[in-house]
Amino acid sequence: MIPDALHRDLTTACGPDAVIVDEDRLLVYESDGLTAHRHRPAAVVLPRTTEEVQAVVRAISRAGLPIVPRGAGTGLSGGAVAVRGGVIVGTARMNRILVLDAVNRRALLQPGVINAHLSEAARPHGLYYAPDPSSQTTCTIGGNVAENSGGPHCLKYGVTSRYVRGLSVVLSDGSVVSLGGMGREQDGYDLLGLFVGSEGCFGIATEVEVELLPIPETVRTLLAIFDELESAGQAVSDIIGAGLLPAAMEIIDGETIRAVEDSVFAAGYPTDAEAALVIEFDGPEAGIDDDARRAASLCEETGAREVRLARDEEERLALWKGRKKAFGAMGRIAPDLLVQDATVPRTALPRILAGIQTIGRRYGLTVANVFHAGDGNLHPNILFDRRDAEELARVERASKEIMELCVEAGGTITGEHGVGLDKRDYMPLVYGPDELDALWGVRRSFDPDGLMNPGKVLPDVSTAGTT
Amino acid sequence: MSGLHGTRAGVTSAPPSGVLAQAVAAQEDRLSNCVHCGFCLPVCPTYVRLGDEADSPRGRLYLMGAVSEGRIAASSDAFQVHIDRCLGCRACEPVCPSGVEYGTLLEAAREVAGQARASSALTRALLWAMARRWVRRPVFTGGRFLRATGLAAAAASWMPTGALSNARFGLAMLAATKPWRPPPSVDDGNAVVVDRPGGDGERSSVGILVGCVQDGLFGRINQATRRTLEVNGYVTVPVERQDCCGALHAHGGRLQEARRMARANILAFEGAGVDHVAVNAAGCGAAMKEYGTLLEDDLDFAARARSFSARVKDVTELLADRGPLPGAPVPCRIAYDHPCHLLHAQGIRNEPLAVLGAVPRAEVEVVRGADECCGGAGIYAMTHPELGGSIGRDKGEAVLAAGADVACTPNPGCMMQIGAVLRLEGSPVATAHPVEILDESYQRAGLYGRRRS
Amino acid sequence: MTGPSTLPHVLTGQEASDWLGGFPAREVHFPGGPEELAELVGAARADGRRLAPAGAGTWLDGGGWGRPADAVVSMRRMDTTVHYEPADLTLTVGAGMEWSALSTALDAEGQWLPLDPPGVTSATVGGVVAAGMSGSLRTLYGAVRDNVLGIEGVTGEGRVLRFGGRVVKNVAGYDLVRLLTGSRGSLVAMTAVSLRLYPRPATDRTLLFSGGVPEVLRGGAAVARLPVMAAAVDVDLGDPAELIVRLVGSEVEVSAAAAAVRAAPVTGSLLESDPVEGGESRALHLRRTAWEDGVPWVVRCSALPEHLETTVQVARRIADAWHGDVTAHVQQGVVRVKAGGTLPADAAQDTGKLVLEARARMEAMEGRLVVASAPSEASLARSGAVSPVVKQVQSRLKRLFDPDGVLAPEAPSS
Repeated sequence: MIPDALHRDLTTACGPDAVIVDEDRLLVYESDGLTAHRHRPAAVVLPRTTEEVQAVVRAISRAGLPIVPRGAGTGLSGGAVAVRGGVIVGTARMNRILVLDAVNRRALLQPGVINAHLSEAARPHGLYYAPDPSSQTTCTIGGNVAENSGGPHCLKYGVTSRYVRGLSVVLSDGSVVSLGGMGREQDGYDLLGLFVGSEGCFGIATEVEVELLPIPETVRTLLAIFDELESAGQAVSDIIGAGLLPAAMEIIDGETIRAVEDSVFAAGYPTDAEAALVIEFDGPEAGIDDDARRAASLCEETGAREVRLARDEEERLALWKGRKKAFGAMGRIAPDLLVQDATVPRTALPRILAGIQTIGRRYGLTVANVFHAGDGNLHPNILFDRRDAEELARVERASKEIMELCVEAGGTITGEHGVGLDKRDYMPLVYGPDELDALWGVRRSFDPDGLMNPGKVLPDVSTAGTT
Repeated sequence: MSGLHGTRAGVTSAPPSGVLAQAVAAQEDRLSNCVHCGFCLPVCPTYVRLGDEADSPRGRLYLMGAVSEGRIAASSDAFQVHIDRCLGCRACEPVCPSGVEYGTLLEAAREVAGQARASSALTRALLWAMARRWVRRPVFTGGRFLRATGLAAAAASWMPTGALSNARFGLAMLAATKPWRPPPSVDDGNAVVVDRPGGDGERSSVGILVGCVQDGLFGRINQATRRTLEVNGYVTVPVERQDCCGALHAHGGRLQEARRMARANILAFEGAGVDHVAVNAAGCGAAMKEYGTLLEDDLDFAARARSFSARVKDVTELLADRGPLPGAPVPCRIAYDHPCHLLHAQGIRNEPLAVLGAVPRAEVEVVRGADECCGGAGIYAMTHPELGGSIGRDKGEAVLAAGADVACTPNPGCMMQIGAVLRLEGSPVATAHPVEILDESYQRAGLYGRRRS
Repeated sequence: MTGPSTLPHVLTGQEASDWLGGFPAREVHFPGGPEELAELVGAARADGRRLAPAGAGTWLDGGGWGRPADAVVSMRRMDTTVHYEPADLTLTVGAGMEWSALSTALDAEGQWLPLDPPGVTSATVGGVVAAGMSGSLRTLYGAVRDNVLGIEGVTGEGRVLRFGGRVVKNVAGYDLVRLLTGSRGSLVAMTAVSLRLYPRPATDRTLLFSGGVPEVLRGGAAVARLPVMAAAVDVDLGDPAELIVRLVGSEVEVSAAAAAVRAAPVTGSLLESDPVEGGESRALHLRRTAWEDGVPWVVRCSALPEHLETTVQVARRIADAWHGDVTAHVQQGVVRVKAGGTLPADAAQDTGKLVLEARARMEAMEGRLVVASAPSEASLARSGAVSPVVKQVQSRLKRLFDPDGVLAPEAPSS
């Protein structure tokens, strides 16, 4: 329920078909990619332009209600959930590519443009957009900006913030600010860089300028099969240590291999293996085979029992299939799963992987790992059934222990999914009260009244500093 | 605490409330596969145009879950409107990493929705007529009369839009069922007369689904199906007492009616003892390949339905399996569009192109955005003129951009939808089924004995 | 300059000024760590004194963010390696470590920090991060802020804060690392930083072409548009003008790229001299990064790369009046102008007008003109107008970290 005046204002701003207030219809907006958190918004509005977003934000602000930005709703931290009620401002209708400028290798986009659609549109110009979150066929650029999204190829190319060159942003008072811009040397605080990854707490990006890269001339993809998970972790460390820079290095552990091979997405990984490591090199044709050969022999030296090189695009896609479909496949072998996103220094990988297995065993839980090994970005998935309350309690304790283990090793609680609602209360694991205060202060510098996406990222002031 | 990443889209173990919810709840195993990842959003024609989560597959599954949990009523606007607005194109299925059987769930949801609240008079009338041979026969005869006399085409061009736009579109669809006459080939006179292949190898027997709309308005496609299959070494066997496939009824949630027709067809084709059931309408093929699921709870028929479904083949699958044999040139430019129920529901992408590839000098271009629905979706164009119209216009533009003489798509509904859109746009581009073009090629090659003069 | 081991805790009077290369300061403090620095800040806050954070003092006078300070605090004694695990390709060091010393140490491990901002030859690591400027390598390796993983610093309230960490992917909380990078000590005095490292490429080769200005510019633009990603595509607008193309990678990769550069349209018509290789190539670029070191007048013009010719025109008008030099980073559309200590008499009078006109032309192309360095008496606005909202956010941020203005640098554009 929203006040009539607000309903009127939203309708005036965007038209009646863009405003959803029916309680039943609103149900579908109660969660994002993470269904654990469910909070029904008071309304949803779907503007089409920066001006409409401004009008909408002003109206919601006037009513003093929370403003919750949402892209495709594919996030895995509950970031797009209206935990304190209020109005969801969805960007699904803001899906136009405004400028595709091949000469300057850039594009200007509305936030609802789908990540992969940008690369498709740029392909005829020999260009592409580098950050490739696993959800890239559906997630939006606006969401990528909010989460500072990563992806398998960020190992070589870096995450979203490196590619965002300019933003138009609507703040909670309805003002529009332009941050950065290609061709405008930064001078002053890097508010552009600060905004990227702010999880909708600072404002709503309504135009995004991104840098594009030339499509790499060629690609080589290897699959190495290991009998020990730790050896695969060691191979990753050795490859980087040898001065090679693959575009991506991804590990799929034994539990996951067996889940994938049991599903309709069987990729032909041996089911008695304990790890599959996918390594991809891209770049100019010259020298790429040397790199691939060196990586292959390093894998063999660390105990790979088999290394395959994809001979063509079809084989390449087949090697990747197990990695890409892993998440969906796991959904079938357990009623519920908890996905983590911790990052650790690469050299700590073998030790942490062993530690995670130990924790899993101690709590009698199955932990399946599929992750961006090159970046040290782990995605341990704990499989369980939420109807078993006792098991649920063990899952939570194991989950916290895994996070603590990663933080102790010099890592952090989230590498790419964001804090959102899900990891908000774990922030004190990585930040002390002074840092949390500063983060609160920075947030208030953009949104003094605390209307933008409240309840996310930062623990409430009263709980700051307590673990 | 940290949240737990539930893998269920809105489904918990709460007992379903109310009898109506139980049909959806019975599908809980299918529903619970949804991990809410959202991969289906960008391929959904209604979500792409409306941007509302409730008009996406994920949103609709969530609504089904909510009905099953008793959180919303099956008669609620939310459930009724959004379940009804789905095209049923199933573009969401191939992109789903969890393999959610959306089509089956949609049919169950439609059944629940239909029991909770009556559907529109138009929908009811169309489905009622289609389910009864004695009604649809005279209707189609009348239709053929309107088509033959040119009345349908004329009326479609002069009728006003507005209140009558639905009728106007219907007449345009009817007019669009007119056969396409390809231009004669300049080297037609020199065409080599190819010998009809002999009976070497295994000659499997095929029964052809005659269909309802296909039988009523596209008899020529059924003829072409029979002739081209025979040229390619199949023995066609007439199958008596077969019925409409029931696809439209299943899509509309009239599962009892659909099951009745399915059983009739299984009996009829079993009686004929054929190796394959050839279908030349993608929508019918998809439905018949899923009789196994439709009748899974029918103790007498479950196993028979599964084995029947395994024998169902699209005509292009059967032809592509044999090459098919090339014919004589039919010089023309063809814009090919994938029917959703062939591509998404049956996973058939290359076979129709192989069929067209057997026609020398026919240049084929796959329409831009061919993976997306044309908006026909059974009777959708008539029940949702606005949204169906917008989807149809986008398809029309894409077809015209291919600069072809003929739009080719192996499904009668799509042919009528695309044909009507093109006609109302004032375009002369006609529509055809791939086997019609192959048939013409075989005619010209003299494969049917004496060449047509 | 005295090294950290022999540095006292404080220098005063002439000694202070001498240590800072003549910068007028009554005191230079050398805290040994963040806690000691926090104490100094606390004391200054109590006494209402202002401190100017510094490393080697490279940027103390440049930049126009500064206010007069009562004392300088140099991080020079915090020059230890806190954490370095080569296989992690990350490094944490004290902010006071000299950039050149760090580069030498990384070299021994076959690694490097591919950053080439102006001033690195004399600066400290903290100084480079605080200044946050970038050079040619930005296109291939990202800007400074793309390579800083974590920052430790002391606020104007004397709190020691640590943001980010030493992992390459980290989205826990807002990206304060980016905010602090380039904030020139106005928010925190940086005490330690974590950086992302790269394996040093096996081959480092620079191709050199010369010719007339228009041909060289067109040649540069053509090279920048190749699918080959060069580590630098620079143009020096002397007579003749020079096109400098740096290629890094494995030997085969670099040879193939060099062939592509030579085959690019226009470069064929330029005169190519012998390429330089390895250490020589690195030395060449190190000299080039020092291009504006110690120069009193520096202006940077930037616009989209496609407007490079116009940007060069704008820059050359200033350079002609000042008898200065011009160099361009072609891939980024950035053109820099520098001029010596005393401008020609007629130019000195019109400097304000000249810069304003040039700025107007740049802004008309959605570009920007920044006066990176100018003697304070010239009183040139560092940058163009900033929107009131941005200004407001910036001053809120300054107040947040430094409510009493203990840290001398002001919020930008205030």
